[in-house]
Amino acid sequence: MDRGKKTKKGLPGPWGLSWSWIFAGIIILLLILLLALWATHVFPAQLLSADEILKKVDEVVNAPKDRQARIKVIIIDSQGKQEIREMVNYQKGVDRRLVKFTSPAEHRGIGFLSLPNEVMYLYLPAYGRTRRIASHVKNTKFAGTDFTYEDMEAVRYSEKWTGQWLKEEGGHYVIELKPKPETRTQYARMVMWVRAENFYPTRVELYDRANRLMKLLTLEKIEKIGPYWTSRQMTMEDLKERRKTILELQEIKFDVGLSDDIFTERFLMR
Amino acid sequence: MRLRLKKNGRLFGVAGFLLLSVFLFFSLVNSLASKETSKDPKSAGQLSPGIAAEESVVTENKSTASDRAESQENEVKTEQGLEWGGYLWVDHRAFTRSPRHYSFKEYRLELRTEARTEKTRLASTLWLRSLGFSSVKSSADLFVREKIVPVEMEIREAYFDLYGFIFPWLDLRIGRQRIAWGTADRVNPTDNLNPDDLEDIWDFGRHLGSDALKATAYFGPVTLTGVFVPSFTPASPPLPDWAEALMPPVEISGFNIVNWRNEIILPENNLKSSAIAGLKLKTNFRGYDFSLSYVRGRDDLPLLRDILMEKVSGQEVEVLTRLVYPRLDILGFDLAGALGSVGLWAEGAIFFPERVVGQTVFPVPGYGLISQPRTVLNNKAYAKFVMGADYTFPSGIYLNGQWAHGFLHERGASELGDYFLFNLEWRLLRDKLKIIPLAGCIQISEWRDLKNNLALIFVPSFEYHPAANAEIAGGVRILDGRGASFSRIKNRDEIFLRFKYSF
Repeated sequence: MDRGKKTKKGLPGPWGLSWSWIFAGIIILLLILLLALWATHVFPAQLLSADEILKKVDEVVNAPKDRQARIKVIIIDSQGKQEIREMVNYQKGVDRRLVKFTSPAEHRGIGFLSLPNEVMYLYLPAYGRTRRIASHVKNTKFAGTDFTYEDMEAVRYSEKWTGQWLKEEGGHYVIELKPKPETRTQYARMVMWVRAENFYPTRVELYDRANRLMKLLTLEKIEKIGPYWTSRQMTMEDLKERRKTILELQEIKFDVGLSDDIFTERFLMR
Repeated sequence: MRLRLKKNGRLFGVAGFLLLSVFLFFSLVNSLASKETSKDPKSAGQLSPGIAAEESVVTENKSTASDRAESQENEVKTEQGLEWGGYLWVDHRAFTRSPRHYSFKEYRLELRTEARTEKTRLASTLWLRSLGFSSVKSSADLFVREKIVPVEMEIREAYFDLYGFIFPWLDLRIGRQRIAWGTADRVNPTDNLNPDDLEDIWDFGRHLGSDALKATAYFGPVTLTGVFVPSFTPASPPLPDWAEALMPPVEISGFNIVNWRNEIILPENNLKSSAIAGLKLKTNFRGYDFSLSYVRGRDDLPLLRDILMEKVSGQEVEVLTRLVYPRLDILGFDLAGALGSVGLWAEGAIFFPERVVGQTVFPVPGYGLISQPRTVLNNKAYAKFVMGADYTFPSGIYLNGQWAHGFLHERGASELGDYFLFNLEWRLLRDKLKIIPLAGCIQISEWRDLKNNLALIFVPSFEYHPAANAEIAGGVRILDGRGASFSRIKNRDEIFLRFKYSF
């Protein structure tokens, strides 16, 4: 009888467990493992600090060696009136940038060159010479837009800002950025939404020294062009003055091997 | 610092030789460096692939880099065909003191054209304008169109560029052009290649174009510019209402001038007398831009050399004056940079004038006409300089201040006055409105007697951009003072209104 019972239930497994329990256990373990893998893929920052997220943001945003693009600037005032400007933009690394306005007529030919160590030049065709400009312009609006010169800088956030974890929200990490002691900035702090999927920032709240939310930067139309994630549309909203500026990036090219000769006064004046 | 006429020539020769040597040295170094790189074009490729891409940009043959930079720029830049644009400028002014008549009227149409290829660029700026008012004085004048509507055309600039001419590091510009040297704002002691255009005295800093050849060589952080202007062009003087500010009236004590004629003696129209040349070396060091320049030129404002009087009757005399443009050698220096977030600049020049001896012929009772030679310009060197700073406050207020020692019309160390120029701008409505409540200049011609050697120019104004490309500007110009040159026009307070439309 005993033998017959054993034959009916099958061979006993290790530690006296039945094989069916063992299989069920393995499947559950595999599911947990898969879930964990998925979770670490989707929410990797759970394992990262806010500063490490910032570094990831830097890696993603500043990944291209260089970039050239046409930029359409749409300035919308509080009554909805629009003004459109166009410029060409060349950028190499995070600290070399050349911008030239192509329209409207009153701005055509005006150029701006930004080099390492806050060396900046402005070229005004009417004067026929370049003019060295100091960093006091950083707080001022860039060509009448809602972007300041500081906003237009390509920046490595992790070098100038310290991150602090706030929360997760809708597939985004929300972190707070405070300037490092040596950082000169017009902002007291920023709150940044970073897409968990690719570490690309999608929204940045900019607070003034009185801790009032003064501006909101939204990065939209985030696409992968070649190996690089990029935002084709950036909107800076001035919440106090209820107006905004949209930058539409067109004809974007990455890693074209821009020569250092582009980022010189010689080319600025051409 | 005394420098005789002959020594001027020597100085020119020595300085020219030194700068030419520097130019040749850099050319040699650069061409050798190019050869070195071209010997081993794959050297960058020996690095790891990741680094190689970055390194190749740095180590590649300079000519390839330059060519590529040009083609890259042209790729994104607008099309290569002919582009044109310009603006319409309408400027009306009126005196605010009696008699309150119009003081200035200008309708200016500036037309700019530009055509590019990868290695060349053609550019021109043309002014079509109506300056001043109808000057009809008789019915016959009504048949002279220009007396009814004064119209003129002027080629301000017309030149072509050759980029990478022979060598990739050399750019050439040929034709009528503005060669703006100096880092200061509008008052530039080193800006001496183009003649001053003082027609509108309040637009100082404006220059006429010069028919010139300019070669610019780029050697990394060092830029060497050589300019050759084959023939001399005098400055355009201020309009009569303002001329006294820069040119004192001729007065002969004891005599009443009944007829005054003058002759301008231009330099001989040949290479030796008329040509102007300049060299400039520019570099940067520790975040500051520096440049050193030398110009063998001429004073573009005329110097009164001879006064020839002829007695008519009693104390009345007829006078003939002769004016000349003395030779000048100018050694210049400028810098620009920042101290913290404050922008700084400085610019100075040492002027080495030639000695000019004139003659005064005057009637002496009983002796007839007596001729007396006199030195009207000695060959003592003198220095003019400008120092300035600017800053933008977080509120958007921009402040710019300059101290200039010596203005463009002043000659000789004892003649140089001090000028404090200031400009405070407040941009509002996203740069649509610019209010300039504090702008102007304080002139001090003699510190020991301030009260009698002072002039103030105060110009509060505004600029408004009601729509894209459109600008309306207006303001008042208030003048006051005593003794200083600008105080001579202290009764010329005026109000102005300008319109500009760019296209």
